[in-house]
Amino acid sequence: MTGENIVINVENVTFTYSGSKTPALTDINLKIREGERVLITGHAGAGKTTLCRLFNGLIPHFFRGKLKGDVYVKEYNTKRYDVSFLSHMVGMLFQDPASQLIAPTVEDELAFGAENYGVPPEEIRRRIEIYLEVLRLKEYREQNPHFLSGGQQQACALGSVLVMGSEILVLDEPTSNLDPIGTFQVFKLLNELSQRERKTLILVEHKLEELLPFVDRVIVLKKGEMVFDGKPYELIHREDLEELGIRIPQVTALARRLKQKIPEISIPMTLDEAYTTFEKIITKKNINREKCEEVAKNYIANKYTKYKGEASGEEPIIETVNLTHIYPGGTVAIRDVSLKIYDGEFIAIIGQNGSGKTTLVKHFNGLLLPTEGKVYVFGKDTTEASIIELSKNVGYVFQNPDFQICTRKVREELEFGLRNLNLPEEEIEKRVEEVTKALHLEDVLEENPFSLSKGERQKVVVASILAMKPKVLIVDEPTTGQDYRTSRDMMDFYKKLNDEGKTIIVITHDMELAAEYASRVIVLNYGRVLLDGPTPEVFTQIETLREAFLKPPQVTLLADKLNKYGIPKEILTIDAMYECLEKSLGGI
Amino acid sequence: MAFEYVKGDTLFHKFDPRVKLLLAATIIIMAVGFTDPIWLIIVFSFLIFLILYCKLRPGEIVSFLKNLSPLAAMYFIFNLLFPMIKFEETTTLFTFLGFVVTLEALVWAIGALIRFVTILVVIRIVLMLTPIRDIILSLVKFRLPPEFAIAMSIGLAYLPVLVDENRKIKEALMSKGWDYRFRNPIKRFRALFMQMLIPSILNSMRRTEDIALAITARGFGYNLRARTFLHEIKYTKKDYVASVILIIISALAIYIGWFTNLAEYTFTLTLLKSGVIQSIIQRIMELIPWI
Repeated sequence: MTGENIVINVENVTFTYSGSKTPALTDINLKIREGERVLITGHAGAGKTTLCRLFNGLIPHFFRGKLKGDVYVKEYNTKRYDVSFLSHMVGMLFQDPASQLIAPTVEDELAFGAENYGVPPEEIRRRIEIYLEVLRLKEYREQNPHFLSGGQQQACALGSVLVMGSEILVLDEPTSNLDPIGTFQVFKLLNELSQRERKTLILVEHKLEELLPFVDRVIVLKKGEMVFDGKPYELIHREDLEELGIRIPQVTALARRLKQKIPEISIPMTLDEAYTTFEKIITKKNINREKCEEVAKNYIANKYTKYKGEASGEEPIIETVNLTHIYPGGTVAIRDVSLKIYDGEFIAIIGQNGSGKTTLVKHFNGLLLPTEGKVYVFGKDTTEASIIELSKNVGYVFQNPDFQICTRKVREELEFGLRNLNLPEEEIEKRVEEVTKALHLEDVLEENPFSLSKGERQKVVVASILAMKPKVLIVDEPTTGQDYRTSRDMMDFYKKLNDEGKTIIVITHDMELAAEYASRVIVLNYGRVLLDGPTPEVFTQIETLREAFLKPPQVTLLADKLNKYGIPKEILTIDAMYECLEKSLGGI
Repeated sequence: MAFEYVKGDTLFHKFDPRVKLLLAATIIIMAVGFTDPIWLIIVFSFLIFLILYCKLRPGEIVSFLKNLSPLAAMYFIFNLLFPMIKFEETTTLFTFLGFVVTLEALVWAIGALIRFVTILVVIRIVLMLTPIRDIILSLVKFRLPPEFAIAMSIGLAYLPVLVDENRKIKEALMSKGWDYRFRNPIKRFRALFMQMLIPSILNSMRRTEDIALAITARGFGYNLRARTFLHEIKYTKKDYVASVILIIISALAIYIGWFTNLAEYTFTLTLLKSGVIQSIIQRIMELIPWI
C-alpha cells in the first residue's frame, strides 16, 4: 500500500509554546509516506495534538512559540506557506467537534472547505451525498449542526474534512464522542478511503482496541518525546509497554500478564487472535472448570457489593415513576422510565448518543421537570421542591466544566455554592479547606480557573460541588477525552467517595470503566430503559447491548467466546480473567 | 427559536431569496405608508394568507406575538395618549386618569398597532421561509464581500447556540444552589448579569479562537475570488414576474401612502362617522344566527 513518496517530513523539531518553559515536543524526526496509516498515541499532555499542528502549519502560523527544525508537506516548508494553502493537502479534524462547526446547516458545513478551494458546485454536491450517507447524517442535512448530538457533531466535523478531498488526513481523536458501533463505522470508512483513494491517514487516539489492527505504524509520544515508532506488532511485544502510559487492548494486556506464568503464550492484538491463543492454552493446560467457576463467583461477589435493588427492602433515595420528558420542540427524550436508586449505590448510565442519559439525570436535581409521571428525590416530589433545595442533596457535575465556572479565582469558585447555601463564614472556610485537601488543589487555590487545564478545571468543579456535601453525586461523562491513567484516577476518586457512603451516578461511554467501577448499570435506548441490573448481569447480555449500539468490554467478549471451555461469561475485567485462569489452569 | 427555516415546497418557498426580501420590503413600505386601520388590516390579512399557504405553524407566530405583546401594548397606549399628529377635529370618547381619549386617537392607535405587528410578523415570516444561507447569498449578490457574508453566516448560525449556552450556564449555576429569582428586578438583573457574564465572555473568547482555527484549516481565505458556492441562487421567469408585480405594488403603495390621503386614518374615521361600518357590523351580527 505504502508508496515511496514522503508526504510529511519532520526534521529535528523542538517546539515550545510561548509562555511555557518546557518544550511541548523535543527532537522529533518523522517521515510519513504516501498512503501510510499512522497512529499517534500517548498519555494526556504528551504532545500528540502539538505534533498534529505541525502538519498543516498551525504551528508556527497560528500557535506562537519557539520552533526549531523544519516541517515539510511534500516539498513545501510549512514556515513559508500559510495554513489555508497547506490545508489543501492536509485536512485536519480537531479534537472537540462542537468547536469547529461554523455553518447554519449540516450541508453548508460539509461544503465549506470545498467551497473555499473553488471546487465546482456539482462536484461538492456529489461528495456531500456520499458522506451524508456513510456518516448517517442524511436526514439532518438542513439542521443546525450545533443541535445534533455529540456523536453526530463529530460525524459532521469529520465529513466537513473529508469533503475537502485532501490527500492527507490528520484526525485528532475522531471517535471520542462516538458509541462503539459508530466508532467501528468511522474506521471502516477510513479503511475504504485509504484503500480506494490511497489517502494518507494520521490518527490520534487513546482507544487502541479498534485501531491497532487497522494501522501500519504506531508512534508513541511521552512527555514530548517520541518513545516508539514501529509496527503495531512490535509495539505489543515491547518490554516496557506498560510504562508508555497508553491503553492497549484488553486481550493484549491479559496475555502479557499471563506470559510471566505461561512463557509460550503468544500476544494477541485482536479478539479473534485472542480466541485462538487462549483456546490453545486452555485445552493444553487442562482447565479445572469447577475451580474456574468458583474463582469467578467469589471475585464477582466481592467486587459488586454495592448493588441493592428491590430485594434490599430499603427506601429508594431517588425514584422516578413512569417518567416521560418531551422537549418543547416535540422530541420525546425519555419515555416511561421507572427507576429506584438506593443510598450508597455506584451506578453507570450508558447508552448510545442521544439516548436520553443527560435528560434523565437532570430530573434528579430538578433542572428538568417531568412532562408526565413523577420524580421523588429524598421523598420529595421535584415539582414541589426548588432546585436550590434539591442541590443540597444532589450534586451535578456537567460534562463541560466551563459552563459551571463563574468566578475568577479557584477559592471563590469553591465558596460559591456554599454562599448560596447561606452557611456561616467559618463553616465555609472549613469546607473549602477540606475539599482543597481531598482533591490536592492547594497549589491552584489563588489561580484563575480558566488558566488551568481542562482536567484541572473539571477537578475544580467537582470540588466546588463536593464542598456542598451532597449525598448523591451525578457526573456527566467525566472521562471523555481523558487518557487512561487520568480516567482511572478520576474513577478511583469517585470510588473512594462511594466507599465513604456517597451515592455515585456516572454517565459514561467507556464500557471498561463502567464494568470496573459500577455495581449497577442502567442502559438507555431511545429514551427507554433497555437493561437495568447488577453490572455482571447487564454486560453478559451481548445481543441486547448490540441493539443499543453498545459493546461489553473486550475481555467479556472473550469470556463469552471461551464459555464452552468453562470460562464463566460474567468476567468483566482483566483482573477477574487473570485470576480465573491463573488459579484454574494446570501446571502454572 | 429565531432564524429557524421551516421547510416546504410551496411556490413561495421556491422563489429566489431576493424576491422574498423584496416582498418583505413591499409590505414594510405599505405598513409605513398607510395609517388607516382598514387598509392595514388588508395588508395584514395577506400575511395570514401567506402563513396558511406556506403551511407555517400559526402557533409559532402566536407565541412570537405573545412575547412581543408587552411592547405592542406600550406602543398602542403611547399612540393612543400621545398621537404623533394633530387631529383637525376631535370627538372625546372618555377621560381616563386625566387623559382624554378621542375617537380619532383610538383609530390612529389601532392603525399604529397593526402596523407594528405587521412589520414584525413579515420579518419573522420571511426569515422562517428563507434559509440563512439564501439571505447570505443574496447579500453576496448585492456585492457584499464574501468575508463579510461568511462572518455574518457564522454569526447567525451561532445565535441559537448562544441562547442555548446561556440556558446551560444558568442550569449549571442553579445546580450549585444559585438563585437569581429575586423579587427585586434590579437585584435579579444584577444576579443574572454578573454571574453569567464571566462564563459567557470566557466561552465566547475561546470560541472566537476556535472558529478562526477551524475556518483557516478548511481553507478560508485561500482564494476568495475563486471561491465557489454550493448553492447558487438564480432568477428564473417566475422571479422576474413576481419582482415586477412587487415593484408595481410598491410604487402604487408609495403613491397612495405619501401622495394621496386615501389610506390615511381618516378613511376609517369617515366610514365610522357616516355609519357605514356600524351598519356592516349590524349586518354581520344579523347573519351570525343564520350561520
